[in-house]
Amino acid sequence: MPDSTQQRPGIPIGEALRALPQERPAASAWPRLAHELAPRRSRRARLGPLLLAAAALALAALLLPRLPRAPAPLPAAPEPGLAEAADPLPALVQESATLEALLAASTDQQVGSGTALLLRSRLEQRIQLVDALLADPETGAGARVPLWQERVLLLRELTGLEGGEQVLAASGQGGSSALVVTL
Amino acid sequence: MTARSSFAIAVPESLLARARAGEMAAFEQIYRLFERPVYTLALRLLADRDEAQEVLHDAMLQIFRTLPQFRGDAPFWAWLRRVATNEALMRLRRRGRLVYTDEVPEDPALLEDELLPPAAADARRLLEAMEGLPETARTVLWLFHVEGHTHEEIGGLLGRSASFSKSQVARGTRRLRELLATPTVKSHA
Repeated sequence: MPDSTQQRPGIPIGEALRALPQERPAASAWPRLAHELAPRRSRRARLGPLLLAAAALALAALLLPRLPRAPAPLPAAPEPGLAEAADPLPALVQESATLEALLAASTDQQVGSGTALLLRSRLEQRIQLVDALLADPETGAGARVPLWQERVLLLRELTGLEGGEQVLAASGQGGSSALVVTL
Repeated sequence: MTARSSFAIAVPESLLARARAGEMAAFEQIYRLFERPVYTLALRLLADRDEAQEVLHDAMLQIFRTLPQFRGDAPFWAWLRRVATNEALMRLRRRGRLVYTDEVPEDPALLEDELLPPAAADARRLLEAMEGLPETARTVLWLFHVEGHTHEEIGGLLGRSASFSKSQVARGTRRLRELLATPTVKSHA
């Protein structure tokens, strides 16, 4: 097959330039771009673990009522009632505040078994996670009621733990590991 | 001018929507689509691989950060090409070697002569000859012949007139022809 370029007086410049191969960078620019674009997503990235934790909290909330626990010192409302009202949010916020006030009045950090202290710490951490999600402006309205429900459940657990510990402390068993609640 | 730019890639609206929402996987997909067109454009204009790499990075970053403002009045690829071209031109201006003085218009007959010697079929020789051109002429030739911009558009990009672009095309073509007519532009030893 003859070489057509040899038979022509010349090659149109546009044709010659467009025939040049495309170039590829020596190194992909994507890793650096991804790193620099990440700050735009920092909030989401930061919330990622929190959202996972929230899911874990929801699971724990389902399991907690079935686990052995210390008698609750407070006449807590039946749990189904948490979601039954047309707008349960005001009631949840109110109960949350009541439980926090009770905790503030009853918590004695010097009293408690190692197990109870560990459990208290875990409950408090989970409440902090819920609070972080509630404080985030990106948390949708639909997520607020479940989060407040979760907060109330955790506070009930914490209140029950404090009450149980104080009962045990009053009976001289506060340092024991008799109170076992598994989360 | 019927040149079809290598940028002319249709990006699905669904992919753009995901990118607008900040989805990193969508950003990466768009980057992969346009990595070579952006890099090639920058390399042809700047004739420097490091600077072309910087243009690739800067143009993509600018596109991704301003993507929510992209309304789709023009194709996405045309927007990206404009951003990449401006990034490369900005770097050329920093070098201070872009010629902006008005020149005496070339003889219109010269504009018709667009043929290069057969040596232009050798990609390496053609690239070397392009790199031997003044930066302004090289830029205008590429934007006109490969990207398919009109002289009016090129004049606008450079802040000059359409006749300035025409003149650069004529002078650049003539110089390119001279460079390709020599046995070798530079030694490969």
